[in-house]
Amino acid sequence: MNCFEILGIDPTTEIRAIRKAYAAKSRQFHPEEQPEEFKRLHDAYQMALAWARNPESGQGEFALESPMAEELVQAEGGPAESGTEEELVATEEEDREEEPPLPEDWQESFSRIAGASMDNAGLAQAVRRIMGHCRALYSQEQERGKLYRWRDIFEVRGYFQVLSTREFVEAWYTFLQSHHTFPLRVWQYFASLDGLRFSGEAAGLGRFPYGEYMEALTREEETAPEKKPPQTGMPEKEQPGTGAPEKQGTPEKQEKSPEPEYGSRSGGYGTWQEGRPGQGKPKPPAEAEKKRSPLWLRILLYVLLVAGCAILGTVTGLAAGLIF
Amino acid sequence: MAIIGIDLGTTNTLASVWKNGTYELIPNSLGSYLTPSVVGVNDKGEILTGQTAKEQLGFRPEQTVSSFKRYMGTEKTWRLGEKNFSPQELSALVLTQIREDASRYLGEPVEEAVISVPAYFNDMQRQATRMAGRLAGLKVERLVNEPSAAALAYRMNLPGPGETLKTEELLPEEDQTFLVFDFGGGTLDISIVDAFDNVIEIVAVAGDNHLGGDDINQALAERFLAEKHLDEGNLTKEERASLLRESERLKRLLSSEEKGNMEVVIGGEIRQMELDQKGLLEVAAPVLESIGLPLSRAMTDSGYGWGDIDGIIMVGGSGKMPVVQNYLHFLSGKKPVCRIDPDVAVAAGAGIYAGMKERAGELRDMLLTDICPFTLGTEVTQEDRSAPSVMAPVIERNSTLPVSRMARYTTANPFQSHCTVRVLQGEHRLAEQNLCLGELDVEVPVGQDPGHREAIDVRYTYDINGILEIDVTVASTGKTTSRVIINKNIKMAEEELRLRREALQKLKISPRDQEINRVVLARGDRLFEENTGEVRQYVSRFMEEFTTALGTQNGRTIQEARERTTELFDIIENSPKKSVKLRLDKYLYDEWRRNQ
Repeated sequence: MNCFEILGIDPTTEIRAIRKAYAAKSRQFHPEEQPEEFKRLHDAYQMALAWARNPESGQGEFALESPMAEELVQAEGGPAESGTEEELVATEEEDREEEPPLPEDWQESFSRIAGASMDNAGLAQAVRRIMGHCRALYSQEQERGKLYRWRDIFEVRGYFQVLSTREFVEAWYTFLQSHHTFPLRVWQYFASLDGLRFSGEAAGLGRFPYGEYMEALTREEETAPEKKPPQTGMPEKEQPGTGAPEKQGTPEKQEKSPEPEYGSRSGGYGTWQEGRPGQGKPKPPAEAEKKRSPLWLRILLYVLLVAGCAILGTVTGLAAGLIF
Repeated sequence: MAIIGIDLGTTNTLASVWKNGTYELIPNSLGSYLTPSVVGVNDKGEILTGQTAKEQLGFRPEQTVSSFKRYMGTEKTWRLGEKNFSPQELSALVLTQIREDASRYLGEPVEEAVISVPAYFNDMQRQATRMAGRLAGLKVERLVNEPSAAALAYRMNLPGPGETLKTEELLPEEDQTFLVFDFGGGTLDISIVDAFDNVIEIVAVAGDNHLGGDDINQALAERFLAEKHLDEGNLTKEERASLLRESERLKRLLSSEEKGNMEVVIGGEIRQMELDQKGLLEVAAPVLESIGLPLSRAMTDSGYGWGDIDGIIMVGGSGKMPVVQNYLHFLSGKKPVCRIDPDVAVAAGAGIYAGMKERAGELRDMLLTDICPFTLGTEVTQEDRSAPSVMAPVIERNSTLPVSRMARYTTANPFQSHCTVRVLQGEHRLAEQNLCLGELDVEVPVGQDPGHREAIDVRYTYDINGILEIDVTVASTGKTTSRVIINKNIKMAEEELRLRREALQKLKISPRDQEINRVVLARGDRLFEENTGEVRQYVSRFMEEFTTALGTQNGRTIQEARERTTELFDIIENSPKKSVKLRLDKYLYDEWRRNQ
């Protein structure tokens, strides 16, 4: 039985008709008395709505057979919804005319509070919040190399909208410029994010030079003989028979974990692949830092030496004063 | 036997009932619909609730508790007198007063109630609310989400107490999608609602359990301290309480006036701060900012754009503030409506819902479907065993209730003999970041070779009463284990519940027959504490006069004295500090002239 049969109507893309059928049937299958039947009715209603809003996409296992869907679209010449949408917009504009507008100085303050645009309410605050998490994580040296910790920041559903804004990308790039000590796999993750969750290019900021940083890392690791250079795909795969905690279920769903998924995708996004070892034109920041560090040490030693001398001098002076 | 609807709010609690085809708000013994959600202990060790307790909040802050709803479902306790109280028990004390008032008003015992809760309350908070009802001797089978109740009240187009409906204010009968913005003292709830024919369908819910008008009071108080270069740490408890009370008064004043004033006596000196709407906007900016995230989340989850929303309904005391209304107007391009007093809309809806629960004839076909606000899922280990376990969603948030979904899992280890299904609620990917509602342990056949895996089918069923049931079936044996998930912190054996209820009943509750006079006396005590010098002398004199009148036992004399004292106290409280004495003298002179 497909969803329209449960609703007791012929397949239609008209939302109003679907709602009416659902409302009528709900009198019969009220959740107070017949929860099981109501569950079925409601699922059918949701499916019918989803299908009506987007008839071309098959809606999962409950979808109507595709031939029927095609027929319907052809018969009606596309989704019937477009007409009602226009009407909606029209009535909305009428409504607006009737209402007195807000005073201008209020509007100004409100735009400031709401962030750059109306749709991005609370954006500035959200960006600040995300960057706060990033900074906090970076400050923990033990933790910042762990991929999952970064994923916890970026894969929170509520943040997706925020990530795609220019404001966020700007803050993120600024952050990366001054915080760049990550292992390669974290860099690879960052590179894959740029394009999946947000895009520096789309935001008009150009793509961050992830490649340069990763290249520097690869070269560093090549010189260290014990470590193998990591591959593009994610290094860690399932190791069967490890002493895992006994009581836990692993869902079948989880089998394709997100790691290989983006690992395989990253090839498509990263410009960094073009600039692999050999053509290191721009100065890799990690290397630069390495050269600088002994200098810092020398300055520190020098300062200590001077301070030591000064203290020694004072003490001698005092002692001398006491003696005479 | 009547079922009543109760709006158990952070600040106030209200009750209503379905009667003669409409809802009716139930007044308390003071004749008010609003009973403050405050509990205290007086100097005799008696428990006070409602208005009397609120009056002593100012001068016995350490013996009075308010805003305990914020801690529902937590371990926090407060010490009042000799005993420690949990948030459930404090709520139960307020609910007991509501139940008694309702029984008296309706002339029949009230034993069942529908209680409204913030849509964003999690399972633990909901169970705590149920528990509070049971401790107060009420059967609470059903909880209703606050914004859903408000949507119901609006959609039903029923006249409120003593009002006739003007047609232009009614929501049209046709298909509508609206946004309910429920902004209370301590919580924000946003719901997107589809209404058509006999159906009210909640489409999406988002919110913040720790954002409300109280935060604006706090911001006003901070602004006051900053402007006067005062340090909060140096204030006495009483000064702090009076600062917060004045902040709230100013906030309310600015809901109707362009400008307002607050006055606090600190270190014996009167300090003033004037604020206009623009200033309030500055103070409230951080709170408005925090509104943005839940708002955009509700919109995203619903799949609607602002163009699809036909109206915005304001609910909750803080929704009255013009700053909040204008901000929403700015964001949505639509003027928010509040035809039903935002303070009572939820209670009205809870009353209607109680009628639906009774299956009252007029409401028989009405259908209000609600959703679960959080995702429910199972804790599973990751392929990479060193990584922490994650949550695998089963029932996605915003699924309509009742709902039932199944997922299949396999064992992680071939030789394991048990499988623990940990039930989680929340949106975080990591299991430990979500709330654990409970767990179910099942035996699985132990495998013989390293490639062996056992599969289990886990079915989650969430019914309209918000009861979550888990069935686990082992695929190979077909054996099913079921369990209703009740949180371990809230779960209580019937026996223990009875003992706790009896313990609450044994508490010395201050006798309520004289409550209306007690409120006046308590207010006098508070004004005495708050004021100094001559005004104090006046308060003391009025109190003596009122006590003398009480001593006459004559109803008429007492009533007149009560009205007079109330007027005098109003003058003391509502006039600028400098002119209090002048105005009191004028009142007394006029009175003297009248009596000549």
